Amino acid sequence: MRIGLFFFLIALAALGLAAFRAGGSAERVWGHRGVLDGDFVRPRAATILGDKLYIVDFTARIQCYTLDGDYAGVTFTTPDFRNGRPSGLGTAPDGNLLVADSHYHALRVYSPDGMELKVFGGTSGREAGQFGYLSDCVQDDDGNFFLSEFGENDRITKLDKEGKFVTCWGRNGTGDGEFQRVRALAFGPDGLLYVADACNHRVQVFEKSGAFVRVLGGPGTEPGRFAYPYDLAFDPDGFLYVVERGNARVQKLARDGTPLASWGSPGRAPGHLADPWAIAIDRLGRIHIIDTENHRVQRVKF
Amino acid sequence: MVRLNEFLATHWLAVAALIAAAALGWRLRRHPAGAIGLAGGLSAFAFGGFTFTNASIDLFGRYDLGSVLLGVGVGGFLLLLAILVLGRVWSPAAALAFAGIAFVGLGGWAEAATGEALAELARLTRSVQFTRPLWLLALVALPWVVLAARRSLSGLGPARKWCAIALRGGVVAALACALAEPRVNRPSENVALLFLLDRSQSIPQDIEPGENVVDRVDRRWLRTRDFVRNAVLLRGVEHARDKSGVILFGKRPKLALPPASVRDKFDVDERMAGPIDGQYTDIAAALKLALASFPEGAGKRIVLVSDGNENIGSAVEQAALAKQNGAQIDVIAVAPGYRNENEVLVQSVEAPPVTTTGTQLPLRVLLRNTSPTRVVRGFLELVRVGLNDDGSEKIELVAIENDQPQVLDAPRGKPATIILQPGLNSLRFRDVPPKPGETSFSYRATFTPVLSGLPTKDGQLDNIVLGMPNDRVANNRATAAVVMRGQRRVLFIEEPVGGRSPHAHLVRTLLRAEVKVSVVSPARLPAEPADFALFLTNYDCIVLANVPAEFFSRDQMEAIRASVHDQGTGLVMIGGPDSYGPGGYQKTPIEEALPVECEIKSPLAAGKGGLVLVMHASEMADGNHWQKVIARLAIERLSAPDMVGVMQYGFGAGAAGISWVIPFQTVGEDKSRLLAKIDRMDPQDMPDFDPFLTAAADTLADPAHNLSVKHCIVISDGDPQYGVAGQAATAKMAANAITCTTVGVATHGQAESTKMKSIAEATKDGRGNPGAYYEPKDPSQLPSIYIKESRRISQSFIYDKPFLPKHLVVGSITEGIPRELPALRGFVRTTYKESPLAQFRIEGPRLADDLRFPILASWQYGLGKAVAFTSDARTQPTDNVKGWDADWVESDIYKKFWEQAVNWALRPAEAGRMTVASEYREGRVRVTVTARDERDRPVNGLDLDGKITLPRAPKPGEKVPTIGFKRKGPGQYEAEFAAEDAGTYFVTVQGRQPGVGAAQGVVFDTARTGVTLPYSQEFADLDTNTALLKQLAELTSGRYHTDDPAELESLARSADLFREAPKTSRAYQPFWYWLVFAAGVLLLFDVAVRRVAVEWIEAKALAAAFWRKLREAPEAAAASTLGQLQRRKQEIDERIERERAARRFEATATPSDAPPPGAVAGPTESRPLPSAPPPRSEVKKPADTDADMFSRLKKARDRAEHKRDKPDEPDRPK
Repeated sequence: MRIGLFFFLIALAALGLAAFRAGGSAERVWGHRGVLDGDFVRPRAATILGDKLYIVDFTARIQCYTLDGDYAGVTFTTPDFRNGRPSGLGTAPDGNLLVADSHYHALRVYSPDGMELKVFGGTSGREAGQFGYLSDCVQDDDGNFFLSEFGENDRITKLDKEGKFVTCWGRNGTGDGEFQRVRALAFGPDGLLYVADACNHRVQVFEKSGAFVRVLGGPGTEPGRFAYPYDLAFDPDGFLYVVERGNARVQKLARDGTPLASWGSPGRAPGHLADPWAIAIDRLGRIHIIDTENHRVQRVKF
Repeated sequence: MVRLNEFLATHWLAVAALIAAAALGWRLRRHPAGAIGLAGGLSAFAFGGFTFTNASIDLFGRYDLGSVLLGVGVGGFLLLLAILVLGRVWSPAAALAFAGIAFVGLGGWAEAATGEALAELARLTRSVQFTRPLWLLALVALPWVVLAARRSLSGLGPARKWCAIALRGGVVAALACALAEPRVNRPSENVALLFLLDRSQSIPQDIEPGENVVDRVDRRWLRTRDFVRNAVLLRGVEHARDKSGVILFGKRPKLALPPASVRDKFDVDERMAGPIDGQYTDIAAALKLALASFPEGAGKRIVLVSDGNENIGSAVEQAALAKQNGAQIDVIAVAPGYRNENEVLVQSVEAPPVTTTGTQLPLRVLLRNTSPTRVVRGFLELVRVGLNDDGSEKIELVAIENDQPQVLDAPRGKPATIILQPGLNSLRFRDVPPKPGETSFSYRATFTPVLSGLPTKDGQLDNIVLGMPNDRVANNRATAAVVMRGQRRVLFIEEPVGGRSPHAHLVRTLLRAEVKVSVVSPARLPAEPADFALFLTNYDCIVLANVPAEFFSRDQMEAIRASVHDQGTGLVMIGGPDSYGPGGYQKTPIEEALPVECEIKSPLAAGKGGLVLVMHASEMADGNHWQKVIARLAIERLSAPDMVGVMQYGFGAGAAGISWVIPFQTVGEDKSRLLAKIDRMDPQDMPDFDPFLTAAADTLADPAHNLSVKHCIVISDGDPQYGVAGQAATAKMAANAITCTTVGVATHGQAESTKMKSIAEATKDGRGNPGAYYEPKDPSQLPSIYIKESRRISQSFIYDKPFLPKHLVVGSITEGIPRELPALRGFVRTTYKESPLAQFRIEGPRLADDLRFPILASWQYGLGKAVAFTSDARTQPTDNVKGWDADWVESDIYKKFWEQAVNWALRPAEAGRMTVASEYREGRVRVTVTARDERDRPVNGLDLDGKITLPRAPKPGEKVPTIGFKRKGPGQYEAEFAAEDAGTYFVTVQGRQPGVGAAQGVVFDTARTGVTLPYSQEFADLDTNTALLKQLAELTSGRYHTDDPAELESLARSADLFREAPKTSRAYQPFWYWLVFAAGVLLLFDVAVRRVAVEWIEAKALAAAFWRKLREAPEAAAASTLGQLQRRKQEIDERIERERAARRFEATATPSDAPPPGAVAGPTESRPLPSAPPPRSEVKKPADTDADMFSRLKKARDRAEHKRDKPDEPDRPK
């Protein structure tokens, strides 16, 4: 009997090893290119609302999926998308969907089933309260909106929960507190705002007031450096994940920028990424990578 | 019931397994152990099939539950075996449990699939056909084989004998079948349904009355969409695997939804297919696309939803093809019996097609009021549209004849108010005779309905309705073209420089030679191809004087080419730095008409250009297509020594994403390699310009390339970032004389335009000129931009040193011009066209041994003549401007040369001996030619060559219809051709006297005419053409339905559209070789069965021995086993004792004579085989007993001897 137990333990160990090794390749790869509902063409941004994943693609459709990639039956678009498609999605603390309608200079709030609830902005310009192209939006615990802009303005605008202008900071440039195409925002567990400054190949960290705190990374391919970081997110343990278009990988970093791990390389096979634009992290710490040019989503945990 | 059917269809194998298990259970008593195992396994398999088919489970990912269970079962079983081998422990219960799990898993994993595969196999078997069925008679030999084998194999024993007989029979049967050459035919089981939805404008709309224009919804279209969706979604489970798709069509068909087995959503959205041109209906093209779109191996059914009014192609022909392809057409007639009774249309404008100056023109406008009762009042306007000398439109109102009953009011200079009675109305106009020198023109009649009403007896109108609710505006207008014959005119196209004509001296010279020349800048030419074609009919020769190709649209160039080829217009191209190759004429229709090729074959090191193209994914419609078009054009325009590189943003191309589609390299002779790379280009969304601008600047500035012109073109929507590094790159470009042109395509807004403009303006060429910024509003403008841009690069075409041209052939154009010509100061290199028609009269300097360049070439192209002069005519003696021909201007050959060149090319004068009349009726144009000689006698036996100019530019590869004339009467000839497009068709007919032998005869005369189709036939159709639809359905044995809402509803619910389609089959697959192979394998087994004897008993014994060996317990674990053995031995000993006791009473009936139970299945006949090892205890018994008796006997004897000896013993002391 003891020998039986021994073999059983060996088998368990083997299974455990297999599960561990699965961390090297995606544990789930799904998605299909197409225009039917549930399919997408070049998905470009994603967010998680509860246990649902919302994805917007280059046909401007925002669609809802389970975290396993089953289509959940919700497809909608912003009112108009002839001038350009939305390029950022965010989650409001009240469970609604924030859509950065980039080329219409507006932030739209949708209910999870696709009903438009509120619209902020809508006029382009450089004045306070006007927007360039919106790329992402996050909301803090007090309900303030933080919106990132590119194009005409390279800055971050803060609105209160009614949508009134509070402050804005940043301009085009390469110095501290200056941006070249902010693509994504995320709040760290430390209450600081992490900003993916894509064309400066770095992540900048700010206080909610806009005060500059520190900068992470810089251009390069080594661990801890970035090439077009296009989206970032924190996992439940407080680690920072950054997806890079240029390096076709996702990096796991400590909040001070120390590189901890990296996943992905350019290619078409599962486990490879082609021009990834976005990531979303669920409650279980699983990372959903929007593998844009492969028209699919890969789910990993590392 | 349906669900049960569906269930049985999926799980028939599981049901069969259950039945088999039940049958085994019934026979349990006879075959206990095996039957229980088999029945249990089958039940578990069936259970798995029922329960776990397509179920999945979430472990470290999502897996099929069936395969997981199978894995667990098999894995567990293997684990048990491993424990057994290593640990000598075996648990039958655990083994049974794992086996059960494995069977359940197997059921879930494979039951449905295996069932389906078996069913498929059965279906396949049913479809087997034999090519030579006579060979099947060989099967008659089977009984004989069986009989013969029974006798010869009788020594083998029954089981092996029958095995061998079956194998032999199989061999014979397989060979017989193979000889009969069977083929399998896999018929389609599923139906693929393609809905063809007619979106042309002849489909009557069904609009809720009284709605705002904005809210208007065509209820008919909504009904059609609902029908399509319902028909697909309600098709029922038995059609679940059938596929459906949608094609929308008008002039062209477009596949909106490719055929797929959709389940939950099937919404037809017009946006899916892009814009549909509803001005025409081409049912045939839609059918053709449908046939091409059907998936392989499915039954094909087309559901055509249309009104049947086709005006391009022939649906009936295509339906016949569809039938041949096994496709069936069901039709749904839209609005059958509909007749538009609320329509007014201008049927035609009748005017003499050809006129000469000074004749009065009788004009008639025919209008049709389709209402049977109502009269319509409205305005009718007839205008003459002519062209001013500069190409602008000249519109003059034509007066109506007042004395007609329909005319209510005809104020001077304003449209007349008329009233239209039901039916056809004819209105006469009178036009002032055109002034001498007038160009060709057209008449355009437009009717604007104001109100309609029922006439009362007192002449008033009753029941008045304002406007015409269902009237289609497109057919309220008609035109007729009138071709003018008069003084011969030359169209001189040049681009003014600084507001002055650069060829003023040449134009003055020609005017002095009494050639009527109109000088026009290309910008003022009519842009519409139809207008441009009509404009060109005014001229007998076109001169292109140093005009670059980008000033013309492709349609305009095609119109010029067609006008030369089909209407006999002359063409003269005069060189200069913007003509021929450097003008970008390579691969254009104009090059086709010229006697030289603009491309030069050999690279010449005359300064090379470098071009870098930067491509950014474009979000505009067809953006990526246009990018490829542009890149191709740019490369085609470059000459061999130039260098080119193409960059795009692509993943996997390093961190900056710079992917060189074409690494910077010399273009070379063979461009196809580069063009193939362009076709594979797939640019993606670029985040910032900076690394690309830096790479372009670094590449072009590299002194190793030795470039004399350096240029970069960026095409983008302006979205990428332009930062510090980018600004440094543009500064570097300016410092290195590199220009960068930016093209903003579908930019999102002003900010992007400004950004791209600033990039262009930051760069400077050697003379300080900045790069250009373009923002085309229409993708078709892109190519001309790129031609112009890439033209900057090519330097190798121009030769600008003085040389003495060589006069090769004197005659025709150069008649009377001396052989020794004055020097020219430059020319454009071109290549001789290899054609026997081309003549080369003057040649330029030879550079290398074999490189010859024409200065003057001429040829006959179609009905017209073309002249190419590759030097220029830009010298202006009065302004002291010296061009390449400065020495010619000063010599006396100048006037003579140009006069003769233009005169040679001019269209031959129309002598009026031939007249052409044309008439349009029901899709065909009939052309009648009358030929009379000077004394008005009919001329017979002419060779007539007729050419047609279409109202639109022919598509690449499209054949323009040709017309062949037949003689109908004395001096009368007739021809016909099909006309489908709205617009003016020009017909030019050249008559020749019959030639002698191979030589062509003398030209008798040339005549031209134009015939106008006022609008597409689409707008002339007033009722639906159900007859055609019925015909299509009948031809293909399809069904005919109408779009009555109730009928559509029931049709959608009945799933009738998904009924079994005509069987389509792939090619019959022969498989006789597999049968031969099978026969070979069977033969091998046959031999094996006879030669190798496997004894079941022996095998069983071996297995048992192996099992014992496996379970032979090591000391520690075997204690209990040993105890059992000892107990067993005791039992046996006791039994032996009992038997011994019994034998004492009945020694004759010893039970040990009976064979042991294990021996019953043993050999019965004369088989010299070792008997199976019998159970030791049983077999030992008799032996033991014998031994006992023997020993007892021995003991008894010993005792007896002992006794005999013993009595002596006491005597011995005596």
